[in-house]
Amino acid sequence: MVLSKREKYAGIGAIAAVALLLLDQFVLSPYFDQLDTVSQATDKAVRQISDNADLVAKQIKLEKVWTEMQNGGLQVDESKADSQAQLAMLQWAQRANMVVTALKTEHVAQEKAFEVLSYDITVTGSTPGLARLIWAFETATIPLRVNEIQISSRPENTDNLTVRMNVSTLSLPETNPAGGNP
Amino acid sequence: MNIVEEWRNQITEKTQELLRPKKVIGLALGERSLLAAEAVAGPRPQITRLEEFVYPPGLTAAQPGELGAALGAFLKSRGFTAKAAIVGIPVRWLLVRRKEVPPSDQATLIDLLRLQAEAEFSTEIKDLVYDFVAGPDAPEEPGNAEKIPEKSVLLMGTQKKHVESAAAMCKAAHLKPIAVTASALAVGEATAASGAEMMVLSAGPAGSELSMQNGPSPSAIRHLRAPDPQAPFLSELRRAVSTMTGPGRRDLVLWDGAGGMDAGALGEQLGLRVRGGQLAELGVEITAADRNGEAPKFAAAVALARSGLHGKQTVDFLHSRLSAPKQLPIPRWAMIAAAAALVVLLYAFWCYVDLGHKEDALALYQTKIETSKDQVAAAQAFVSKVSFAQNWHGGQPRYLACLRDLTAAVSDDGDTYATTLSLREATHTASIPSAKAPTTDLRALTGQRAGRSSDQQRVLSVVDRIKRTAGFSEVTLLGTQNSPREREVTFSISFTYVAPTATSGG
Repeated sequence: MVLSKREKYAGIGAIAAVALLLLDQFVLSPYFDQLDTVSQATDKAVRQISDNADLVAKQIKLEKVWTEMQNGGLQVDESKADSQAQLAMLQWAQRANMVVTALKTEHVAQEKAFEVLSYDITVTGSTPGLARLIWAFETATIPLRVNEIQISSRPENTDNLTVRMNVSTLSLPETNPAGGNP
Repeated sequence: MNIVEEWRNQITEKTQELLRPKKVIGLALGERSLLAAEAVAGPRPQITRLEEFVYPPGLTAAQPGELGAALGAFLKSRGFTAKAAIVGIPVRWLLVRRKEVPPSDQATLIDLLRLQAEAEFSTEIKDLVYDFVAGPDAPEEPGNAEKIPEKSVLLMGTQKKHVESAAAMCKAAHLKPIAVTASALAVGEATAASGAEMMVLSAGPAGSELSMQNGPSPSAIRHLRAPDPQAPFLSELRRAVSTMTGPGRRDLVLWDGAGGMDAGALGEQLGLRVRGGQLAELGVEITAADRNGEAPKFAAAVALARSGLHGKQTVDFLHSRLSAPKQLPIPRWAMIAAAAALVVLLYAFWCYVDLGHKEDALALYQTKIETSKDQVAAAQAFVSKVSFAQNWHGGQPRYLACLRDLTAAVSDDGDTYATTLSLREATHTASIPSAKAPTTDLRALTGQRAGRSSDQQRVLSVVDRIKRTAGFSEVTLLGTQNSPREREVTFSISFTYVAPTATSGG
């Protein structure tokens, strides 16, 4: 069969088009898909490695803080932590010339590796005494956190204050598998 | 000529100019000796050496290896330093035909002359190398000015063995042969470079060469016998002149290489104006040693060396324009397609290798992540634990700071006082703090203050002052209530407070 020049060119063009289509279907598209997948996975892996490195660096930084906390009075026994907190609060109130009218343990809850002991304490006294008491609470070396304070004066417009505070302390039970040092 | 060809030619010319040797030896071959001249490039080429190399006994131009070795030694001993040579062969070795060709471009002219050369010479001698030199344009026909005049060319052929011998001799002499041409052409072109019509006669002891020049273009070229004996030489010369000259052509330049020729007497005998040529006329500066009046015999060598420096020879049998075009074993389009396919394949291979490298790198990262999994988990647990416990770690008195700033913001006007104040952690959602609760900023507190004042204006003033105090935000007056009987206003204000990072308590 003799083909004219036009037919030859048309045939070559058709074959080239089919070849390009097949090339795209079986080579180019799969290649670029794989390249895209690998690039994305690589970016993700690099980010994760970077995050991990940051985490380890933070861990090293926090080890010092953790040592300070343990030395500062973080107890492993719940009852010890309870008595330590109650004793401290009573002592601080006494030093601040505040009268403790109520102190009761409100809750004991498990949070992460810790047990959180919460107290409601009600004291009466003057503004300077209250300031000294709050200062003592907020700068304590033992684990203590003031969650809430309500102040009222009775009678009104006098320096005779009634203060109700909600505070909490921590203990780290030894038996807890996640509680130890890393 | 399209623009691509023009650029290609320009690039080729520039490249050739850069690659052109700066020092060339012109070698005019003869039967028993050759003449050598060394030219150094400059605004006016300098001829630094002129020597005649007489072939050693038993050697001829047909033994190029031995002759070249002897020539190399000779040139070295005489101080020649050029590494490139242009060889001139005698007219005796040439077959010359004058052809009239229609005006055409160079490519067409070459194709035409190639066909004519094969038809003209093939039956006479085998293995010829052809080239051509364009002659002067034919004059227009009287009364037919519209007809484009034909062009005359001198078609030349020489045996391939002469060209190969010349090249082999140069190589044996450690010279690079840049061209093989006819000595008479070089002399004629250099002598008549000014554009004048003249005849140029180079006479030597072994033979003479006569060319009819129309400026640098030759219109005829002939080999003649040696000038001695004079009578037959004169007779032959007279016949040659009569066939070559027209009515106005009466000048002849004589390059006397035989010695003892008298230009004046020759002119009288031929009825022409004859003068002896001087080397300086060839457009060169002679710095070589005086040859005791023999200088004119080196005209061919000097002209060859000069043309070698200029780079373009009218005829070059070594690089003949009429040689059969090289047939590529593969079509050009196929070569381009193959090259393109090769490039695509190389690129594809690179892509494959690159992807492999990326996959390897990813595997490495993933291995690193996997191997550090336990360490990271432990670090995560520890950081989480300590971060949680830090919330119970003292040292940042936020409640006290809030009380201090609130007291400072509300000036004691004697009529406004607080009845209750409630402060709690902003992130505090239950009575027991939870790690799951939002923990945006532990320094933040939310508060609500209730109080009494003498009038609404003072209440608003209190709100404004709190708003202006650093650390307080979202200050909102929740409500006021007039108590006309007591002439007081009760109010309630909510706010958010963020303690400064460095707080001094007490």
